[in-house]
Amino acid sequence: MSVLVEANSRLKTGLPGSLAGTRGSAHWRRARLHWGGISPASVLLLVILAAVLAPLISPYDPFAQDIATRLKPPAWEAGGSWTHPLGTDQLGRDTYSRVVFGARVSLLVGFASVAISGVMGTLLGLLAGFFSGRVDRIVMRLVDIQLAFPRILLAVTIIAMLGPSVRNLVIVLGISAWMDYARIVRAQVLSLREKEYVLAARCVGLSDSGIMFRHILPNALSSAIIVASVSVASNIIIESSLSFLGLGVGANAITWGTMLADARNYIEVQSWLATFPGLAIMLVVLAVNLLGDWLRDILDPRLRR
Amino acid sequence: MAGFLARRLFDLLITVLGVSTLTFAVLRMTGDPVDFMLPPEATQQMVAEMRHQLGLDVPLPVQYVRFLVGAARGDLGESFHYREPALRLVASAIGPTLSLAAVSIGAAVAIAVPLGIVAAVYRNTMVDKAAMVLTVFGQSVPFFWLGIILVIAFAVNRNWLPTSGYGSPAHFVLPTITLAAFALARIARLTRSGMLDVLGQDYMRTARAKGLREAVIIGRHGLRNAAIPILTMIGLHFGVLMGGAVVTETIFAWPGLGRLIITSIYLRDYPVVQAGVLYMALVFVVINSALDMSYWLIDPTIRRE
Amino acid sequence: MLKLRSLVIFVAAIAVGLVPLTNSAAAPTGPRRLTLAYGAIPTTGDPAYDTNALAMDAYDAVFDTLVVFQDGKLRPSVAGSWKATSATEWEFKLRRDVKFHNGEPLNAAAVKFSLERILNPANRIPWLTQLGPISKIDAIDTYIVRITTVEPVATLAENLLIAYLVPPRYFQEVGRERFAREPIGSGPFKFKEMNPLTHFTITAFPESWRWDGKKPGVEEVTWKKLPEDATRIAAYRAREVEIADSVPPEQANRLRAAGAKIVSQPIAQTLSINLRSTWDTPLKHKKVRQALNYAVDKESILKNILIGHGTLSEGQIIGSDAFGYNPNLKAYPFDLQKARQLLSEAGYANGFEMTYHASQGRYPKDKEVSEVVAAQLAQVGVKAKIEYLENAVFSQMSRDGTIGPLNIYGWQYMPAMDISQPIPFFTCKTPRKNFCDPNLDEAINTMLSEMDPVKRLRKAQILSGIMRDTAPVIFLWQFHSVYAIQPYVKDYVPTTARRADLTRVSIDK
Repeated sequence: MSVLVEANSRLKTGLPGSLAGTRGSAHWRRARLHWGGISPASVLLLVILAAVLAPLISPYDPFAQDIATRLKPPAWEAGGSWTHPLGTDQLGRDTYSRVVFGARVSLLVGFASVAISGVMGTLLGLLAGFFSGRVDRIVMRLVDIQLAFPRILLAVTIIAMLGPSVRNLVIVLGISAWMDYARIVRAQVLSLREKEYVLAARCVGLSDSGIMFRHILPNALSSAIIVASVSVASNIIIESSLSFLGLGVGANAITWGTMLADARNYIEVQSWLATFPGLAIMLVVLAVNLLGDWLRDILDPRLRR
Repeated sequence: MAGFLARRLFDLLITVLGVSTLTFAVLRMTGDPVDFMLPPEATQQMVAEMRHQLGLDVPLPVQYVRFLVGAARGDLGESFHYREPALRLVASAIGPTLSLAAVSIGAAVAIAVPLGIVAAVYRNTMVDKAAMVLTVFGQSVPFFWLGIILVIAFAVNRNWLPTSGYGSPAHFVLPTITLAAFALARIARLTRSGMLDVLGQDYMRTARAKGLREAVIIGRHGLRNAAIPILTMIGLHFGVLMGGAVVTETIFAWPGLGRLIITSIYLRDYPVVQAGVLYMALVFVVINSALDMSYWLIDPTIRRE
Repeated sequence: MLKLRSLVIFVAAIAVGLVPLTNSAAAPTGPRRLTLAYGAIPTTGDPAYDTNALAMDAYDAVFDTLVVFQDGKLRPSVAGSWKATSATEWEFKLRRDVKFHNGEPLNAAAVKFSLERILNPANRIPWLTQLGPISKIDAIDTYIVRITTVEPVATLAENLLIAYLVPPRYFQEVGRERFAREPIGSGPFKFKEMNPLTHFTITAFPESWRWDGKKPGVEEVTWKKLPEDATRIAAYRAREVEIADSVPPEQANRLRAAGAKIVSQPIAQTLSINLRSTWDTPLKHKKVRQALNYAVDKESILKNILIGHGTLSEGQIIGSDAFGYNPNLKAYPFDLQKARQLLSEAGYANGFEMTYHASQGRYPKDKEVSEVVAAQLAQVGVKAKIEYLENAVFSQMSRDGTIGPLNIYGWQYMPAMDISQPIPFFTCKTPRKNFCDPNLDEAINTMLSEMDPVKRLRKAQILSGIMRDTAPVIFLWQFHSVYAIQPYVKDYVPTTARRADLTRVSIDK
């Protein structure tokens, strides 16, 4: 397998290249540990809560049209009113309600697709690392092939074929990103395989799958989690790009991406149509990225030794 | 060395073949281009006739073999939509995509690496914090939104730059900013963490003890050792940019390969999609290999698998 | 392995692609250069292969046809006059002063060559069916062409509107592939260069007969391909182009306020929602279909979504610019009560559910319109479940008849400008299985087989009346193509066929 690909897998977890020693700047890391994660985590939690409670906190049905009140600006601008605090869109639908409901699908797409890639990739990585030989070569070859295929193009092709929908998008994003997890988990498995407790487990007579799942997996998981956190953010952005191209979740679902796409001709005069979903995306992605940083810091194996 | 090259070539072939088969299979399942190519008034007989002439009515395996045989001869078919050899179309689109990717990566690296170094050297100061906040934002913004706003601000409201198209250095500015923002963020953060790891190493203390100037230390020793992950990220982003620049190419009417492939997928223009994806796979593998080589050159102690 | 030639071409093409093409830069070479930003441009220099309406603008400037559609009717172009000498024979007398850009004369032999080229199935020219069932073409004199049809075709001359004429000697010399890259026509402009991904450029050819002695008002015309709305309008606002087509309705007023000349030109396509009676659904009942027509508030949508850039359809799938339009018919008024009454008379007082296949980006504002229509239908209990189909799938399902009982659709009647172009799709025998009603069928067939134009018009208008009553669709409106034109461009007048006569245009900077 390519050396580059190896190095890249270490990259995702932020683990140092093979040259750096184990000593170093652990102090500044530890200082950040405790309070660094709280703000992004709470923001994320708030957003998730809002998404879950969407029907309760939205004054309007996000699909309800009212052509008479179309393109009303947000309450604090001239012409706006507090009946529609963030204004309305070109069909008279309430922006605030749509942003709140949009959180549901946007977050769903972000997390569900990561879950799929995570499970798929971790499993394949476990198999590849544990069994080596032919299994390993096949899996790594699949990794190379999938890597060489531009992800957005795969998404476009499959969605063009199956039709845009939340389900199809989640599937596509899920199955096109398993490679990172596979490589990382595989690398971890390779290094853990020869450890004493594994050998001990073997002596006791534990089966292969037993060893894989009970001993190795938990340790390999931390790396996978770090990759996952970064991926949630990028998946949300990819969904918005695909929706912009008309190939995301389709027009029946509300996501921040589709809201942005619909707003593209209104960006100058009715800028609120694009600003609020855009800010929402930024906020969530920011929170997830910061959370991922924090996770990387606390899960850094160097500090655990 | 020769063995390394031979193995790489073999890998290349397998990967490209794999990608091409995948594309072929997925595409052929997505339905017919013939319905597009004929006006609604065309009879079923005409439709059947054209399907026959395009070779679309023979079984899939036969179609695939024909494609492979043609590809071996350098003939990737004629575009259904443009009625021109697919290879020529793809080749004319490569230049714009390649140049945009190269310029974007170049710009990103040129800004990100110094930024990362500065942030690492002055860690935990305002400079560091500001830099990191900036980069996280860069990673969190939906870049096509950014692109549209840039066009409005700099090309429409002030005629400083062209709004779209490809033809002069001025045309590169806005698309590059749009694309580089994301890569810049990742590379800067990576440089920073890589430099941080390296700055505390023993050999750095030795270098300081030897009395070398700080700048030299950072430059020669620090950067050299942090280079590998940075290079990896560059390679990754190049690949991403080749495929993922689709949205940017769409907004800026950039006549590149991403946009060509996407529109060809919409139009079911199989030969162009096939040729385009083949090319992208080739580029990815070539870049991967080139980076592998540079990786090996920078650090001969890397063990190759 | 790789053919050396392909490899060389490949590398050369990359090299060319890497060198920025000077023509793509927005640097006008002189004051009389017209640049248009279009959503689509010709994909090839050969006019027979691209059927996109937006490409016709360019082809019209470079090539000639036997007849043209101008100011509401069919008029002579290369053919000075024509008549049907029998039920299946037509004679076209050509002008004698037409020459191709390379000097070749445009005579009967050239016409024969051009038409036979289209009719030859081996050439895979998509306009083949448009020409109709032609059995043979003879040059009975140097400037007289006889066309024989298999069966009587009332609209033969209209069908020839898209038969662009090409020089036989040049074509045979260079072959199809090179002709597509270096085409030669006989029109007022000659082809300069193109890149199918970015632009199509032509220059004035003052010797062409179509200038009619006038001096060209523009020396060079370029169509830039900018499919993204925002990009196209930005190019216009930054004054990089003189004309932008397909301006989104909500931007039109802003541009007008900023000094642009906005032309909202009705085009030969109407939007409707097909009510396919061939499915086993409530749509089999005429009253249900009529009810749906009453339930949609078309004026509101036209005002609020299309911002007035559309012309209400008066219960017909053609506009007033088409042959067969009945000026005495009026659109179904918006009447929710009547809609509910009709529905309960048909036995559907509680409404029903139905799949609605919509498109996104296929027609202007199709997504928004679908959403509003579905909401309006819901008010009378008809729950339309919208499913968005991707364009290719939409075309395919439309053609093979598997598309849902309700579907949005744009009926085009260009190039024929005649109801007989879209109407066959409403017969019982059409493979699309769109609609079947024996009464309507009879009216259609009677009209189509009538050769006398006066009688045919009468029958067509009767047909329009029957069609309105039968309500095979929800009649919506006729599309407008909205153009933004810089104030210093004079006499750019687009027509219902989305083309403008470039010999009239001039630039006054």
